[in-house]
Amino acid sequence: MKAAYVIASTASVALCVWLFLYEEAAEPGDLSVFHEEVDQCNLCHRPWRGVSDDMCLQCHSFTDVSFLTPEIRFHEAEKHCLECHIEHRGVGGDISRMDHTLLNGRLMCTQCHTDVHSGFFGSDCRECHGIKTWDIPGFRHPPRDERQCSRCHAVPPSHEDEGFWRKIEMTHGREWQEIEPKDCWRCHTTRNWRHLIMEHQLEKTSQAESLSTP
Amino acid sequence: MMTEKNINALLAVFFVLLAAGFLFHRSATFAGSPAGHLIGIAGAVLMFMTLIYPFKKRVLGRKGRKNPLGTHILYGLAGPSLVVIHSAHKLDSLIGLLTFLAMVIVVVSGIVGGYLFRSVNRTLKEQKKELETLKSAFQERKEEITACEALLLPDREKEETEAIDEEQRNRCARLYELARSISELEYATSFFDSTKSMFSKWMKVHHVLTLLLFSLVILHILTVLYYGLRWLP
Repeated sequence: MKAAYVIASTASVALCVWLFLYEEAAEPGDLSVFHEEVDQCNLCHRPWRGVSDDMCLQCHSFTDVSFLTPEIRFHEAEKHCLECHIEHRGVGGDISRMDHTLLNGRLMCTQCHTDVHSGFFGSDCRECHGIKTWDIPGFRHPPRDERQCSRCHAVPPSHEDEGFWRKIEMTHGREWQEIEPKDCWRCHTTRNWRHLIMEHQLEKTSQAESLSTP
Repeated sequence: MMTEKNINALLAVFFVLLAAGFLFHRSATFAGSPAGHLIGIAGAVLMFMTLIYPFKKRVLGRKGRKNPLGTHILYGLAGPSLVVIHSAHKLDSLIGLLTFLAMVIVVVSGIVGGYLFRSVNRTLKEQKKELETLKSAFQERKEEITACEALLLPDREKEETEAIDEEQRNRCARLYELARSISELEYATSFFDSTKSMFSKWMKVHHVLTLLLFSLVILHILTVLYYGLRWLP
């Protein structure tokens, strides 16, 4: 039986040596489409040291970012590839894990994101928004009878356009043209910006206004 | 009460259920995460601790209570269970897959072999003990054999058998039953003996597979270090 142990040990060692030399045996998953042409492990993995940012930057250069879309131009300032990127997650696998906390303090949000407030609240988004979630905790829109919309909202360019008001006139009549563009509350509600007050509701509002006016 | 035997039985069920979990669950990054690595290391340490038992048995010659098999089984079930958790059922690499399969086969061969081997061994011991008792009882009544020869052997004269009284006949019948019991028990013992030697071979297979498993575990650790240990988020 000792011979069996010797044969088994030799076979096990031989199998392990073969598996070690056969690089694909250690591959924890297929490479993504972006790297599928990479056929040698040592192009990214340095023996006993593994992958590093330097190895990524041998092929990926961000010295000229003018050809990149705004969303990924921050790579010019970031050289810590492995903090967000991971490979071997399959051909269709997601190799990026966007973590804003890693970029905190190093980049302006508006470098990548469009300011939907049109600069109304300044450029420091983090005064209100968090890093982990864009939602503002505890934020409540002003009540329904709030009429000072222009304190926060700018009149959109569409409402400055003559064509817009012509369309309004054609649909609702001439008197609607008298509405000031900054009087958002005349048509919009605070419940939902796209929830418009219809004509009969507007009449009701006007009647109520005239009654309450001394 | 939770005895070591009960704990091991529960662990065996837990291990089988955990290993079968790959049918329903797979995590791509857990094995490489800090928690995954720690669980994997703990599992590997426990698996290597199973080697204490054969070392004490073969090298130090300690058997029985000085070297309980229960501890070996405990390490051999707890370690692989942690390794299954570490793998998170992601078996994409060939080395990982082979290591996982070898581990499952070794554990199952250990559970089945150990359980059956112990059962057979226990039965065999009991049978041999009983056989000894029967044989000594038979030896004590050896002098009666000659007297019963006339009844037991077919070539005796009719007058010779008729001369034997009733009491003697009963004694001879009991002696005959005793001899038959010994014969049946000897047959059963020889059957269990051959089963035991078959399970000894089974355990040899368990040992050979263990060799393969530990080679693969070492290879897995080496390749992880060679291609670079990375704590995945």
